[in-house]
Amino acid sequence: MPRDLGPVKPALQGRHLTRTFGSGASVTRAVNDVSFDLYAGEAVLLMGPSGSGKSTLLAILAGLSPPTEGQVMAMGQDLWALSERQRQEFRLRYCGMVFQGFNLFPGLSARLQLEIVLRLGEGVPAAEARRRAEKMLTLLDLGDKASLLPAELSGGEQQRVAVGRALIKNPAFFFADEPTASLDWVRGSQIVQLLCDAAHERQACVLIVSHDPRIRSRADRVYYLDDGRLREAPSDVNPDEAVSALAAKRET
Amino acid sequence: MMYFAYAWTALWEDRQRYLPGVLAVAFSAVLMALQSGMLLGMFTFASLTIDRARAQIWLGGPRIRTVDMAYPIFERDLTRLASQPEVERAEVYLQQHDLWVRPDGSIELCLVVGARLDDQSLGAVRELTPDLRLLLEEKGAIVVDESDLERLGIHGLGDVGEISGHRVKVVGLTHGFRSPAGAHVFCSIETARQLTDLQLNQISYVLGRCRVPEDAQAVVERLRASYPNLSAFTAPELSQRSRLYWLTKTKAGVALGYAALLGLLVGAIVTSQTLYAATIAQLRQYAVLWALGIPVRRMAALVLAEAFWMGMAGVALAFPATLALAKGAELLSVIILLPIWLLAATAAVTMVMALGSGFAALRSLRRIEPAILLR
Repeated sequence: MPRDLGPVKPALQGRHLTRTFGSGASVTRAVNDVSFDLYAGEAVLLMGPSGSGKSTLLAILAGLSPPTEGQVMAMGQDLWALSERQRQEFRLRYCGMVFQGFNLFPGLSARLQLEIVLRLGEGVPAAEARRRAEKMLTLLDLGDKASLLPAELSGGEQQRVAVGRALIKNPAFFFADEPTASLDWVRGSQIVQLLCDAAHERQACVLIVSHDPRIRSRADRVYYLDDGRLREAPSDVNPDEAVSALAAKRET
Repeated sequence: MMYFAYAWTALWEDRQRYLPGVLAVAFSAVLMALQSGMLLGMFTFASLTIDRARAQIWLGGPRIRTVDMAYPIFERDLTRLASQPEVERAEVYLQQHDLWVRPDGSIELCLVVGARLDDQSLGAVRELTPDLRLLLEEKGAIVVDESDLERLGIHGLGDVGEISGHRVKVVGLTHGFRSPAGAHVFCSIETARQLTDLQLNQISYVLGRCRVPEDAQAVVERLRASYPNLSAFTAPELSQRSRLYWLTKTKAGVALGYAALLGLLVGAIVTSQTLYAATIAQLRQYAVLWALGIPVRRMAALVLAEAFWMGMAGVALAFPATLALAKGAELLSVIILLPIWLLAATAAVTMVMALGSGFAALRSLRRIEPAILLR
């Protein structure tokens, strides 16, 4: 059952997050003093031009890559104060993720791609893992493709399997890094809908990183990240103009 | 077990991608087996006269290191073996290196082997059929191996040659007695006495057979204790001693052993690199599992299970290939011995290499960087 993490208390909070690369004169601030909150039940879109630090910020919030400074509070825990093992257990228990590349095992069927997460992660028995995998695939409209290999699936179907792989754990947090970049808009739209459904129907806290402005209309909130600095997008700003303006500003 | 099941499924369904790795493992195993088998087979020539004869006990002079290099003993030593209660037959045997004079006047080393020629002979190799043994009764008659005809400068049956100034005539040919140490020349005791420089009362060995074959070891032990100035061996003991001598004391043996080790090293490197690459090719997939919180140790089990199956598949491919190639080598008179223990050892070493490659790949697994998943 989806968990209700509460409508007002942020499920995930980033405070004064900074991430730098390099040292001395060649230091780069990919994320620069970013603070923001994510709430359960909403899909947040993080936009910005290439190289703006979006994926780096997602990696910090998802417990994949540490910040140079700052704090991430999730479920009442300081994520980056935990040990690596505790963070791994946190991700196992609460996090689902999809990436631009589908990254499915070439030799495993759609069903086994999902089963393996349950069996290796939670130690779910084989029969139950199979049942849950088939149920998830049916929800994703892939019920009749459960035994197909990735090479036999379209790009959109593969990404849906990847989404299913992340959703099968019923995560409280769902992170998606450019989930539609390899897809045409029809298929990409299906993926975005799945992510938004995860937020609205399963009450997950969903963060989507993308530079695709067409997703904006589906998101509950939109942030822009430019040169590592975050700002929330005003509702009356045309997203295409906003992104173009940011890109032009960087070139100057 | 689930790791093996998933790993096998992934391997089988994606077999085209894994095929190079499996072939590398198979190649490595074939190389190891054949080189080791060639090493074992290379020096079988040293013990052919023992392995192909019926004698169970060999009694000879002191400090024998290899069967074809022994101090002569006396014919009266026959009674030392014949008097043993377990022994049902004992006979004399002559074997000595000599010089064959080719038609062009050059010389070639040969090994004169003189044995009894009756049906119960202990020293006559089994390739000497009853017909051949009958022909060898003639003084000066010899049988040589067909692979040595060119070496001896003759063409076949009926040709004559010269050993130590004595004329000899080829009355028969054997197959499979190729030896780099000297052409085998089989003959009767009487002909051997003529060809070698052994005195009339001297022989090379006394050969014996027990009523109960299992008694041979006990007889040998008793002879050793009773006659310290003689050497006593069971046939397997002298066979192994002779082969080991050529393997370890001669440069040829050391060189071949070194080549076999090099083959092992090449095989190990090829296997490990190929398996490592096959695992690393799926690093992004493992990175996603890591991002989803799957414990590294469980992913590691999956990686090792894959390495295990690749090793097994490689070994399975290698076996028939090895046997076929060894059979083919026979046509070139190259002896490749593939005893069960050698095949098992090759399989074990190959599996260790495969699993070692899996362990090597784990290092990358433990250092997964999220950057490989992100744009």
